[in-house]
This record gives sequence, structure tokens and C-alpha cells, in this order.
Amino acid sequence: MNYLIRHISQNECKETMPEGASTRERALIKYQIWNNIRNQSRNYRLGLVWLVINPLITSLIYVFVFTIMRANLNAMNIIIGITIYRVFAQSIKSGIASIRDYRGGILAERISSQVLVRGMLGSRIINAQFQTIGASIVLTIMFKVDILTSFSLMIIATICGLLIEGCMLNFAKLIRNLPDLNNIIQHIIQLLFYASPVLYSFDRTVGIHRLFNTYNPIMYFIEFHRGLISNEFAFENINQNIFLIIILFLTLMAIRGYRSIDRVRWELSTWP
Amino acid sequence: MAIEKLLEIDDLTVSYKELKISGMSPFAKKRNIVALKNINFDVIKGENIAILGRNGAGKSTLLKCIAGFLRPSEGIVITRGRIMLLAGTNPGFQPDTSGRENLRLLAPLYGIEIEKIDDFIRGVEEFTQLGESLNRNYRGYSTGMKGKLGFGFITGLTPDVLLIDETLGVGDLEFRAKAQIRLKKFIERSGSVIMSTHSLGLASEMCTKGILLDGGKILFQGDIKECINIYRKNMI
Repeated sequence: MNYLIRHISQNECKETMPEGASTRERALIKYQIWNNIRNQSRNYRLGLVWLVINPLITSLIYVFVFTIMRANLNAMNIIIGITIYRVFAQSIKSGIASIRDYRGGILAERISSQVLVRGMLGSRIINAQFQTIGASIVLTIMFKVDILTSFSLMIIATICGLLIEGCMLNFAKLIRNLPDLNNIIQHIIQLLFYASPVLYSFDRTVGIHRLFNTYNPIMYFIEFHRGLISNEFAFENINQNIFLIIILFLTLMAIRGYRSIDRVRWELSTWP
Repeated sequence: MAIEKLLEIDDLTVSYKELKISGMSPFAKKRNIVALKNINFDVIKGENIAILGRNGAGKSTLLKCIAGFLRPSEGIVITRGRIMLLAGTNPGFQPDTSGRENLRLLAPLYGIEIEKIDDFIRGVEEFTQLGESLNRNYRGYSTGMKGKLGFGFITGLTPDVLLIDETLGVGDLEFRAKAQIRLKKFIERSGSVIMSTHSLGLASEMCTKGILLDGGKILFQGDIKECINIYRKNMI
């Protein structure tokens, strides 16, 4: 018989899907992506437009502040820094909160974890694209950066978003167990905005601040794109092995995080 | 011909974790609450079961566990076929979208083929008789209207086992009568229904078998009339 067979036990909710289930799975994945993106913009008249213009508005505010302060200003660096930082911060929040909606908006029938994971990946990719497209256009038109380099910002931010969200998934269970950590993480995100080279270049950091940023993953994403534009990478003088180790570590942790969703989702189903 | 079991429950125990903040302590304590203990029963195709019991007896937990939403602490549940749980009135409708658009949005997600969606919506519209209200945002619906739409939607699908958690209590008398007729048609058309209900009349009319739960344990399972009698004697 062409049935969906489900074995529900303490260890897992294992499903054997019938033939023809893939069409429905595709529809469910699209719905997950649509629903996640829509949830971020549903209360606004301008909807998704806010996702595009928010990083630009924040950048403009900082450019304005630094102009008043007569600080040594590089508007392009600020736009790149803030755009990537916003993707980074949202990916952290999305990763630690992802496990809350383990039913994926479908309330009458269980949907597979595979659908949830693919929906998450799709949402993160589209979210990062929306958040960076405005900055890419501004870089091309206002700063005369060539179009390929400008739009590589979208790729770099997307990779950053996927890796960071995946990493944070590893902590989702711990944070559900100790919700107080959520507050601490919010403060860390805030601190990282000023401690990381978001508003300034890595070149300007010295001493312990420089050492901290050597191991700060967001520095590499931001400075990599700045380096693509200026052809001078601020982290060139750092031991390249550190960069490789950080990227490898993030990749492995992200894979582990996305793969753990099925188990964690199952374990947390009977948690408060 | 072999008996086709749609559902096998073997020694099912479900316990919840509960966080408890006591006194002035800033730290919450974790506590285990046993909601179901050593539950055993099977459901064969075409069998309709009423789950009876007081509030907090474990009826909703049992249905959620069968639907694959809750992790058992012990035991195994094996289900064959699509299982749907109608708990409350909402199978996932979006609040800021009209009833009609919600039906169009959710139908393919519940497996309705694209070319059959219009017929499906027509069927739900005829049953709910929401008329022009179907074009209004779901958020503005009354509880009764939400119940009609949710029930109409789920019973328009073809799950092999339909789990209903108290949903038939919503809506006016006319809706309840219509819902019973639709449920009978659904039962004729497809598989089995397991309903948790406090309505003994509904249970005796729709179901052949009853399971009486008390404190997470099965007190009785068997003929529905006998089950209702025991329920009346012990619990009312």
C-alpha cells in the first residue's frame, strides 16, 4: 500500500514517505520561505521594502553622525560594514529562535524536518539578498564600484548568514533551557557592533582590540568585501591559517547545527 | 484478508517538562509531569473511536502524540497513512489573508492537486455557507466562523486517520448538525476518526469504540455504550 508510515518513539519520529510526496514537499518548502519572509514584514505597509532600505537608513544615520563629528569618514566602508553586520545579527537571532516554531505554520499535520531545514536555508538566503541588494545598488551607482564587485556583497552576506545561523542552531536547545542566555546574546550582538570593524577598518584597531578582531568571524566577511573593492585586504598581515581555521570551524558547526534540527525539534516537543 | 491496522500504540508513556519558579529563587526548577502512562490500543481501518475523560485526563496529549507532534517518553506509536489533527479551529490559516485566499494557499500544502483546488474551495464554501464573509480577512472571523472554515477545510481533505480534539463544540446548532453529516460522509469516504469529546451523544452516534482515560491511564476500552456507562458512573 502506498502509505506514509511513521514510527514514533522516544528517539525519533521516523517517516517513510509514499511516492509522489515530493511535489507537496516543494510546495511546503516554498510556503516556509514565504511565511518566514512575510513574518518579518507583515505589520508594515511597505512590507519587504523595509528589509531593503533599513541597512541603508542605518548607514546614512552613521554617515551623518560622523560628518557632524568631523571624524575621518569612509561612507562606503560604513555601508558595507552595516549591511553585513545586519545579516550577521539577524542570523544569530534566527538561529537561536528557530526551534520555537517546530510545526512550520502547518498546524494540522506534521511536516518533515527536511522541509523545515530547506525552508530555513531558503529564507536565510532570500533574507540576506533583500538586505544587501540596496547596498549593492548604492555601491554601483554612487561609489562607481564595478557591478560584479558590488553584487559580490550579496554572496558574501548570504554565506555569512548561512554559516552564522547554522552555528547558532547548536545553541538553540541550551538557550531554550536557559532563556536568560537570550538576553546575554542580545547584549553581545550590540557590543559586537562597536567592537567589530563595522564603522571603521580593521587597520585602525590596535592591541587587544586587534587581537579580538583577529578571531572575530564578522571581521573577515566585512574586510573581504572591502578588500575586493580596494584590492587591499586589511587582514593580509594576519596569519592566514587563522582565517582558514575560522571558516572551517564555522562550516563544520553550521553543518552540525542544520543536521541537529530533527533531533532537537523532537526533544523539545515536550518542553515547556 | 488481513486486518489493516492504521494505528498501533504500544506501551505509550508521555511526560512533559515543566519549569517552576518557586519563592524568591531566581532559578527555575524543572519538573516532570506524566501525562500518559502505558497506553495500548490499535485502530483498524474504518473504526471510529471516542476518547472520553475529564479535563486533564490526557486526551489531547494522546492525540498530539499520535499526530507526531509530541515525543513519547516510552513506547512506540506506528501509524500507516496520513494523520491529521484538528485541534482548535485553525489548520494554519493566516490572519491577514481572506478565508478564500487561505483555502487556496493551504490546499496544495495539504496535498490537494492544483487542478482540483477550485472544486475543493467550492466544496468548503458550500459546507461553511460563509458567503461574502469568505472574502474577509480571517482575523475578523468569529470563533464559530473560524470553526466552520477549519472543520470544512480538514474534512474536505482525505486523511487516513482524522483526529478531532473537541472541535465539534464550536459553532451554532445548525453547524453542529451539518458537521456531523459531513463527518459521516468523511468516514464513509476514507479511513478512521479518533475524537476526543465531552459530548456523549456525539460519541455514541459516531463511534463504535470508546476509550476512557483517567489520570493518563486507560480505565476502559471497548464498546462505546459500555464506555459511556462507565464514564457516567465514575466521572459524572
